[in-house]
Amino acid sequence: MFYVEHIINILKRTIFLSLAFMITTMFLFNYLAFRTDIESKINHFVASKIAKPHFFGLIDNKVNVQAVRRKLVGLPGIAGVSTVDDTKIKAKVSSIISGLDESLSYDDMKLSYSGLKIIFDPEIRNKGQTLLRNYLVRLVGEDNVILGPVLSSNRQDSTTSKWIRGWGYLFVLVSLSVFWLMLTSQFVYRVFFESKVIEKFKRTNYVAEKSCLILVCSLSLIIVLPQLMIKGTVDLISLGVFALSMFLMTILFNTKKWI
Amino acid sequence: MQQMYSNNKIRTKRSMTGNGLAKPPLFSLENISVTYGRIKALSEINLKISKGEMIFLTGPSGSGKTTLLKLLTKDIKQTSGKLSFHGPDKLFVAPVYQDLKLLENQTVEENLWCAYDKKIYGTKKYFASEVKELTHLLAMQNRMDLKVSLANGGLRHKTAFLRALLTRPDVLIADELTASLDYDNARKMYDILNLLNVKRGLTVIWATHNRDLINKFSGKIIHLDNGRIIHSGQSCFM
Repeated sequence: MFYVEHIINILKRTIFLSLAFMITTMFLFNYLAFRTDIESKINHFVASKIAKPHFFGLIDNKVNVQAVRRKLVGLPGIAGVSTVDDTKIKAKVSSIISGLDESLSYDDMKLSYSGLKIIFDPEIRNKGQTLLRNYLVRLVGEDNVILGPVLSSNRQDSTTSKWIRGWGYLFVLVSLSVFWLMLTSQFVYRVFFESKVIEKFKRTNYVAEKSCLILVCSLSLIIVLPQLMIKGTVDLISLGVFALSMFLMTILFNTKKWI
Repeated sequence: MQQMYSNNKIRTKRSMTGNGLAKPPLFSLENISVTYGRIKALSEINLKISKGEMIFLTGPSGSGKTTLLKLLTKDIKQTSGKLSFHGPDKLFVAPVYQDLKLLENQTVEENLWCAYDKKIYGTKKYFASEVKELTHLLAMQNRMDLKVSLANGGLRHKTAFLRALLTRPDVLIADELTASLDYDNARKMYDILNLLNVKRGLTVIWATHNRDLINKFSGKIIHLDNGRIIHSGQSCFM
C-alpha cells in the first residue's frame, strides 16, 4: 500500500507531467498494437483525399442529381462523390461555347446542367472504372449525361502519398517514441530521486524499483484496456516493448548515484 | 517537557549511564582509507564507536568529516581497511546530510511524514502526535504547510533534523547540522538529542567545524585534519 500511495503522491504533485506521460504511453503503445489498422485507414483516407482517380459528369437538371449522387456513394469502388459549383460549370462551358462561335452565349443555349465529381477508389482498376461509368450512364439515361475522361492523380499527390506511406509513419513513430522517452525519463527520475531519499528514512529497500513495478503494472492496464475494448485481445508485443523499455530505464537510473 | 529537554540534569544522567560504561562498539573502523582519484580523503582511520555515544566530529573544511560520515551511512565504500557494523540485526542509521536532501516540492510536514513507519509507530495518529510535540519544541509548528523550496535555511535544517529523528534511529549522523542556526536553536537540537541519548541510547555522530559551539555541549570530540584523526577526547564542557 505504501508503494501505491507513494506513486499516487508523485502523480498528484506532478499532475501535468503525469498526464502527459500517461496519455503518451497510451497513444504510443496502442499505436504499436493497432499499427496495421491505423495505417490502412490513413492510407485509405489519404488516397481518397490526395491520390484520387476521378472524372466529371454533367447531368441534365431534369434528373434528380442528389438521388444519383446518393446511389453512387453507396457503390463499391467509389471513394466519394461531390457536386461541382454551378458558377464553375457555367464559366467553363461558356469558354468552350465562345470558342466555337463568338456570337453564342451560355444563356442563349438554355443549358441546364449540374456537375458531379466522381472519385474512384485508388485500388480500382480500369475495367472497374469503365463499369461504374457505364452504370452512371444507364442510371440517368444516355441523353442526359456527358462524361469527362478519367483523370489520374497528379505527380505531386502521388509523391505526398508515397512519402506518407514510406516515411510518414516512421516519422510519427520516432517522434512519438522520442517524446515518450523524454517524458518517461523525467517521470522515472522523479520516482527514483524521491524513492532514494525516502529509502534512507525507511527500514525498507528497493523503494524505487518496487514503485516502478507498480507504475508499470498500472500503465499496462491503461495500454491493455483500449485493446480489449476494441479488439477483444491483448497485443503482447506492444506490452512487451513497454515493459522492456521501463525495465531498461529502471536499470539505467539504478546505476546513477542518488545520494 | 521543554524544561526537561533543556535541563542540565540530563547531561549528568547521560554521563553516568551513557559514556561512563564500557559498551560494545557499533562501528569498528580499522585502517580505513578513502581516496577520490588522487586525493586521499581519509587516511588509515582507526575508530570504535559504541552504542549511546555522543560524538562531535570536528576539523577544518576538507578534513574528511563528510567522507567519514558517508562511510558510516554506507553511501560510499572504503578504498582499503575494514569497516564492521555490530549491534542490532538491522542497525538503522538516519542521516542529516550537509545538503539536507529534502524533497523540495513537498511541504515541511510531507517531508517529516517520510519517516513514518507503521511497524514502529503503529497508528498514524501516534506519529502525528510525536511530530506535533517535536515541531513545537523547535518552534516550527506554524510552518508545517510551507513548501520546503520556500523555507529559510534554519527551517530546512530543522526539517531535515526532525525527519531523521522521527525514524527512531539507532544512530543519528548529522553533517553540519547547525550550519544555518543560531545558538538557541542549536542548543534545542542538542538538548533533544541529549534526551534521546539518555532515554533510548541513541548514538549521535555530529560533524561540525564550529568548535565554539561544541565546547558548550558535552560529548566525545574527534578532531580530524587532512584525513587523519589527530585528537580524540571529551569536550571542554565536561
